[in-house]
Amino acid sequence: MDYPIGVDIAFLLLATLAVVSGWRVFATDSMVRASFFLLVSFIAVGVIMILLAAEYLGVAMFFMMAVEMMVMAIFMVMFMMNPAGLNPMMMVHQHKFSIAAGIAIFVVLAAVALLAEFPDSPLPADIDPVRSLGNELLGDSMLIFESAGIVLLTTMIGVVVLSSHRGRYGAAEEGSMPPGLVPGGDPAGMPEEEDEGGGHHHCH
Amino acid sequence: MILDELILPVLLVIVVLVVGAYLVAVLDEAIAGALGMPRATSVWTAPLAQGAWLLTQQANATEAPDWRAWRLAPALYLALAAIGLAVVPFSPTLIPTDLVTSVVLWGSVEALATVVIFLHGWSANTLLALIGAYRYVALGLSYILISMFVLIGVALPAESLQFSQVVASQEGLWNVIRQPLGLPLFLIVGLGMTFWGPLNLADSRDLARGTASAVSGPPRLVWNLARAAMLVPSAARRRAPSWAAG
Repeated sequence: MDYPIGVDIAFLLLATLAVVSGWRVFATDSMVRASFFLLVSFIAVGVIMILLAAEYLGVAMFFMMAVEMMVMAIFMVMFMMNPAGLNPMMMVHQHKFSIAAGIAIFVVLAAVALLAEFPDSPLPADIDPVRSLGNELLGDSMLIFESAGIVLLTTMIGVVVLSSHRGRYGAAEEGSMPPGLVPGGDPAGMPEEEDEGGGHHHCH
Repeated sequence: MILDELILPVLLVIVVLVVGAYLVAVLDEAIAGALGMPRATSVWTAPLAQGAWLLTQQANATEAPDWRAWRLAPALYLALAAIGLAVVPFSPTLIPTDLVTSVVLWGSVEALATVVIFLHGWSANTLLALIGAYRYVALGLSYILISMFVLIGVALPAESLQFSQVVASQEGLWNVIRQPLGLPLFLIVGLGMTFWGPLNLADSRDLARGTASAVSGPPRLVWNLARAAMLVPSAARRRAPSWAAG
C-alpha cells in the first residue's frame, strides 16, 4: 500500500489523543467532563476509521457518539447523587478490582494485536465502502443487527424503569423527600410557607 | 496537488465563513432596524464596530468555571461551522471537500453543535447559562431528529450520501417540489441550531442571554462570530438546488 506520510502522522496524533482523553475520563472529577472526554476519544477513533477508508462508520461514529454522550451526561446528572455535575466528585470506585480487570483486558488486547494473524486480502480499489456496508446491514446480516437493536432498546428501557424506581431521596411510590438538616427535622430545601398565624404546615 | 486539495479549499472555507458571517450580521442589523429596534447609524459598519469594541473589552470570569471548556466552546462551534461549510457544493466543480458521506457529516455537525452549546452554558458555572444549556439540549435533540428526516429525504432519491450526488439527482426535478416540507423544516432547523431570531431560546432575553450571559470580551466575539458563521452553511446547503437545473 502506498499512502502519504501525512496519514501516518495523523494516525499517531489521533491515537495519542484517543488514549490521553480516554485516560482523562477516569482522572477527571465530574460526570459531564468524563462524558465529553470519552466523546473526544471516540471522535479521534472515528477519524482513524476514516483514515482506514471506513468512511461511513467513521462519520457515523461522530454523530452517534455526540448524541449518546450528550444524553448520557444528562441521564447521569439526573440519576446520580450529585446533580450539578460541575462539583468535584470521585469518579472511580472498586480500585483493586478495576485495576486488575484493566490490566487483564490490556494484556488480552495487546496479545491479540501482536500475536494474531491478520488476513492479508487487499480489496479492489473501486470498492464502494458505503454501498457494501449497506448491503451487509440490510442483506444477509439483517436479522442479527435488527435483533441486537431490539435487545439493546429493551435493555435501555428496562434499566431506566428499574433505576428510576428509587429516586435520590427514597422510593418513588412512598413520596421522596429530602432528609432534614437535623435528625427527624423537616425536609431541607423546601420553600418556606408564608403564613402569618404562626406554626409551619408542611405538606408531606 | 497539495495546493488544490488542501490550501485552496481551506482558503475558500475561511473566506466564505468570514464574509458570510459579516453579511449575516449586516442582515441582522438591517432586520432589527426594519422592526423598529434601536440600531446603529450604518448597518455596514455596525458589526465591525461591535466586533472591535468586544476585542478591547475585558473577558470576565465567574466563580470556578471550567476554564478550558468555557474558552474552547466558542472556538469549537466556529470549527463546526467551518466543517459544515467544507462539504457545501458551491457549483458543480467548486466543492471544498466532496466527501462520500458528506450528508452524514452534516448530521454529525448538528449533533456535535448540541454538545458544544451545552458545554458553553454548563462550563460557565452560572445559573442562567446552565438553564440555557439544558434548554438547548432538549431542543437540540429534537432539531437533530427533524434534520435526520430531511437529510434521509434528500439522500434517498439521490441514492447517495454525497452532496454532489444529491445536487445531481435534482437535475430533473428539484427537491423543493419533490419534498415540499424539506426546505421549511431545514430552515427551521438552521435557525434553531444557531438560535437565531424567533428560535433564540438558548441565549434568549428571558435568561439574560442564556449560555452567553456571563461571557464578555474576545470570547463573546468568537461566540457571536461562530453563531453567525453557523448560519452560513445552513443557508448555503439549501441554495444548492438553484444552480442544479442550469
